[in-house]
Amino acid sequence: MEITPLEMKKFIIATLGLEDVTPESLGDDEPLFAEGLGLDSIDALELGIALRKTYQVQASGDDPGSREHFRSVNTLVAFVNQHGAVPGS
Amino acid sequence: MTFLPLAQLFRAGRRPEHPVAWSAGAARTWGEFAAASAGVAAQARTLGGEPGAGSAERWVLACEDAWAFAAGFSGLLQAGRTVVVPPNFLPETLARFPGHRLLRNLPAPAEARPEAGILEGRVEFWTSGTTGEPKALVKTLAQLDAEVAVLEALFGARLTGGLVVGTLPHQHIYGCLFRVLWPLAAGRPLLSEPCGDPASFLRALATMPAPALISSPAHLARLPRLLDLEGLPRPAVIFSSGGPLEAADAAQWAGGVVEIYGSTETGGIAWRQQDGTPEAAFWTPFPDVALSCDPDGALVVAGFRAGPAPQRMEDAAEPMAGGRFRLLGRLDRTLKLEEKRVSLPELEAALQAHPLVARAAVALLPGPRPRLGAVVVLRDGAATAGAGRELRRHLAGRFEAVALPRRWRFVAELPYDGRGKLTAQALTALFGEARP
Repeated sequence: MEITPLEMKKFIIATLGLEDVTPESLGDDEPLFAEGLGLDSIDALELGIALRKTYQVQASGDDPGSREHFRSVNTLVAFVNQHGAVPGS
Repeated sequence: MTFLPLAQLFRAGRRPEHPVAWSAGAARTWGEFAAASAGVAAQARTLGGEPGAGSAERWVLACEDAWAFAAGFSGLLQAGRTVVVPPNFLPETLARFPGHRLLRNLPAPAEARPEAGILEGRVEFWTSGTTGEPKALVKTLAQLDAEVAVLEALFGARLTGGLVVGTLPHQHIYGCLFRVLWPLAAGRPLLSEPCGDPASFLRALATMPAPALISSPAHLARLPRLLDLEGLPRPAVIFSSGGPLEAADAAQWAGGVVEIYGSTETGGIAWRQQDGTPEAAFWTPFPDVALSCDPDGALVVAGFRAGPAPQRMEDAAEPMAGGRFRLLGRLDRTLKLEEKRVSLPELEAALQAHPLVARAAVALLPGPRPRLGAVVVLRDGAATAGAGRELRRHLAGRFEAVALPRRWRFVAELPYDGRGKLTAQALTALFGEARP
């Protein structure tokens, strides 16, 4: 199974309780942090914990790109599809 | 390692090959540090001589990595300048210091001048005030030196491994003292990059054996849920500050966590190391502070580091046996979110400065992760659709992401009660039940 950008948006919104954000208003390539959606570093940790629980993806110290995975919906989708286990629907 | 007061750092000096920092995977030596610092001092002396420009003496130090910050800090004080440490490096924050010099990147290194080695000057930390405007807290280098000496006397023996790594940034007093100034004075190398995300945390722990970990409840509570701590190199000592650490979160870290209680106004006040027993939840004052309580329970701190007059904290405290005390909670409308001091009046003032907004009030919404909720009365004709994101974007130029309201309610009137008071209870009621 692969996760889609729409599913990832719903996952982010549900995990972080972003009640003023809809999946439609969040761009696939929009930065999630700083000037984009405005998430903070603690949100990144929360998201990481939820991704680990749901999709078994894990950070590793020799993966210098791990911060890059959290840049946008698209990078997170690629990260999960490459390293995670997406449960079948 | 020889402990040197910061004021005497360059007068005494260290061996040229002594490691001062790890930056981008390589050791930075004392020789490089002294040259980088001398380069900053030379630039500050050259630029500071303009006639009648008092603010030329004031430098905003906005170096993003701790190594550059350390060199900038010591260089500016070699030139006798005032170091202004901004609360963050956001563009609108830096724009609030007109007429100041800005140090973002280190200038070319220069030859160290041992005869100019005394550091002196003042350091300004900026923090959220209670009245709606950020405020400056001025520290003399002597006060910072006094705190570093206290830390070394109390805890120095526990830092057996040398390297000092931190999950949080260095531009507030706790990060500055623990990640930069204390290591500099004690001759311990500091890790330049913060390690708050899991991958950089793993790399930081693997850099050198038994590092000292400078952290906060936000990180210490979450990292164990992202990483299997069992197999990881163990820090020699872990420090936490910015807010109380839950006993259950402290218990996840083998060897325990030393918690520091303090404020920008006073510096460090007290410490504790929880072990599950009731007594270990009490705080032990640092040896150089005198504590008392105001009639409303507010803790009052006196001592050289707190300044000429005793400082009233906005935390209520209860004295316990043996000079120790228990903390009972905040008394004012400045609160801590993930250890960041957030002033509700300041947020409200910023919201009301937006053209869409007539009135605004902000409240803390309890929950597993407490967040802010904003209640906003829009100006006539303004549409509520998308207004939350627009206002969040407006605030994001000046406030850190943690301080941005996450939930929004647009109402016709703010919920004043019969006595004309706007209570936190009435505001939080607008958000209904807390999320599970």
